[in-house]
Amino acid sequence: MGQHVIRAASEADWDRVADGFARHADRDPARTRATVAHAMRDNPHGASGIVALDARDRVVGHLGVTHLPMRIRGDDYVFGRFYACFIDPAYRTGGVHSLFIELDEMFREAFESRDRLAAVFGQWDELDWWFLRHTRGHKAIATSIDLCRAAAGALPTGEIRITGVDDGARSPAVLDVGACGVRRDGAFHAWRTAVPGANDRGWCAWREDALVGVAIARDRRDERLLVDWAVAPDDDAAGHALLAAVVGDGHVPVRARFWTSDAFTLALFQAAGFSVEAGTEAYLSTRTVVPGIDYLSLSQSWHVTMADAGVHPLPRLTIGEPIVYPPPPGTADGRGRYGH
Amino acid sequence: MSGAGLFIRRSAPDDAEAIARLMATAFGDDDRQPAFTAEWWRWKYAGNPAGYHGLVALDPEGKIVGHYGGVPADVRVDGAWLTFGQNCDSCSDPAVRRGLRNPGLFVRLAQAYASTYGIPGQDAVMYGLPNRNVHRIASRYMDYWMLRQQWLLVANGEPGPPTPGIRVHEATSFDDEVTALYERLAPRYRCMARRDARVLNWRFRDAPGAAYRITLARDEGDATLRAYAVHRRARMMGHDVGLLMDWLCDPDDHEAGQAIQSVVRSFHGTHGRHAVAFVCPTSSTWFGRFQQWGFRVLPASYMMVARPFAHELDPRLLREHWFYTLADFDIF
Repeated sequence: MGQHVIRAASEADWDRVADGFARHADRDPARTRATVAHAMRDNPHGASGIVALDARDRVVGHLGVTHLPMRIRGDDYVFGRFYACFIDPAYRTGGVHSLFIELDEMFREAFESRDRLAAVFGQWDELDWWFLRHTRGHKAIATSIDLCRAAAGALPTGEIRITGVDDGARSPAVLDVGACGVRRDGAFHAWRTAVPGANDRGWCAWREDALVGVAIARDRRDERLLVDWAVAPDDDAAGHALLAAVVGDGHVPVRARFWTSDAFTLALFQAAGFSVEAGTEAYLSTRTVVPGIDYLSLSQSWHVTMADAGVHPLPRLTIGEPIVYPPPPGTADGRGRYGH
Repeated sequence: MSGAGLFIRRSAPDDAEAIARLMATAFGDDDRQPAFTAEWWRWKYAGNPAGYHGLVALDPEGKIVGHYGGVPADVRVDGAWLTFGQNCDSCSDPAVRRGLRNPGLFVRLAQAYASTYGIPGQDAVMYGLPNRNVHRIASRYMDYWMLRQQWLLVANGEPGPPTPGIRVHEATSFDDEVTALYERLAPRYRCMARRDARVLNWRFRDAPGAAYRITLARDEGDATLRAYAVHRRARMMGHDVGLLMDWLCDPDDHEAGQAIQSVVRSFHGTHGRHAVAFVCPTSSTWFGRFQQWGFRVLPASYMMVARPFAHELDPRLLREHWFYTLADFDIF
């Protein structure tokens, strides 16, 4: 591993971070610059990151999050979803992914607290997840499921007023998320719908002036991907109307991916002809810092969409050696690891 | 020897009465379980064809004050036989529990158990289906990780019409035909516990107070056995339901599968049961097929957790290919 310095990322770094990430993930550089700028610089709730720079001031590693406004039991918090993270392959050697640990240590110290980021989370590559679980305090919230509907025609619309995203953007209304959820207001919804190059479409559901549902869909290849979905607690009519808008004329299959334990949402989708599939069964993992907000409470009450967690897992950050199981609990080698 | 004057050793048949007494004290009556008696221990542990695992903690007077059990199963993974152990029946005497500092007796036993049985030649995987509170402890002290969120498949409505060409009937035990069915179908499942007549008779027929019904599906022409199902009544989500405990059928045999699930649903429907529920991995063919038969997916309070000890067991392989049902757990 070469010489490097580590510091908090600033607004001037996002293009260089994007270039490094595009190299690492084999993405189109121009488009990556646009999407990283959108996710990190333009996020109305901000972003946080730590960068590693080599002797030539080139970004060789980035561990950063795009912020997510959360409301949990009536209190507001900010969560951070890992985004555009990469480590130059030349810096992944030298022991157990040492630059990754350096970045993560500094990230924790700089950003993870009640007043800044109450939790960080992400979808990781399978081997990275294993490493994070054993060494960095990440815990699984849930595994994903896919809800899929074949091209099977339109759904009945109902009485709820559905608008495009522009109407919502002008409204100060905030969607009621119940016990735990992303605090979605019109501006945030509009920002989320404007991912560069994605051609996303957003909808808002209204009961008079109250925002009772939002959805974002992305058409790709032969299917419509439901990127975001949230409905006020148990508002069946809003859910049906919003789903009818998303399905449209029903000529293309629709796929949603959720990390959820939400019986209401599952019932709503299955009643509309969706079946549940394993999909990738991707882990969503978190590290929390606020007492009372932990992976198990989030697992029970947080309905997570692809807009929250990302459409794809992050590309691998470690060097990808096989999983090495730590020593079993109770053995001399395992001592100190499991609460001794 | 552990701290606080307690002695931990492997359990033995002579401990049956004391373990049962401790379990009864700790858990009382449980609608889902047989009564905790010596007979229960001898069936569940000593009678298991795959053997048994267990540790007991004794106080200075030699009284058993803690137990941690394991029900091993022979699991064929890509043609190789490994032992998967379901950890269960962990309990401790409340009086002793109060007297120990953290970690308490439960954790000390659990960790002694892992260091005894999570070693080469013993359990390749330890697993369980805990609720979230137990998962918290297991994750912290036993290094369990979430394999997946577990979902329930639940059918409320009427089953489809009878399937022509299939004869479905009840049986009182499993025989060589069932073993032959298992041996024929085992290669279709990359990772599945042994389901021959010996194992199934132990798991269901011989269970004290056995409440299980065995249903077989045969070809109406040549009487070949094509599928079996085991089911029972249970209390779930505040209702009397039918619970499909286990199921073995060729994934390509749509007729036999359709017929046997339909008969099981009809049986429980005629007995006034609210619904029929089934548990299987999300990644299994059957998860989709049961939905086609009218089952709906509901969240469960359980998480499927595991802790592999064998290096060849990639977590993804377990998620994608391990086929399990409630037969692989002891909760019903």
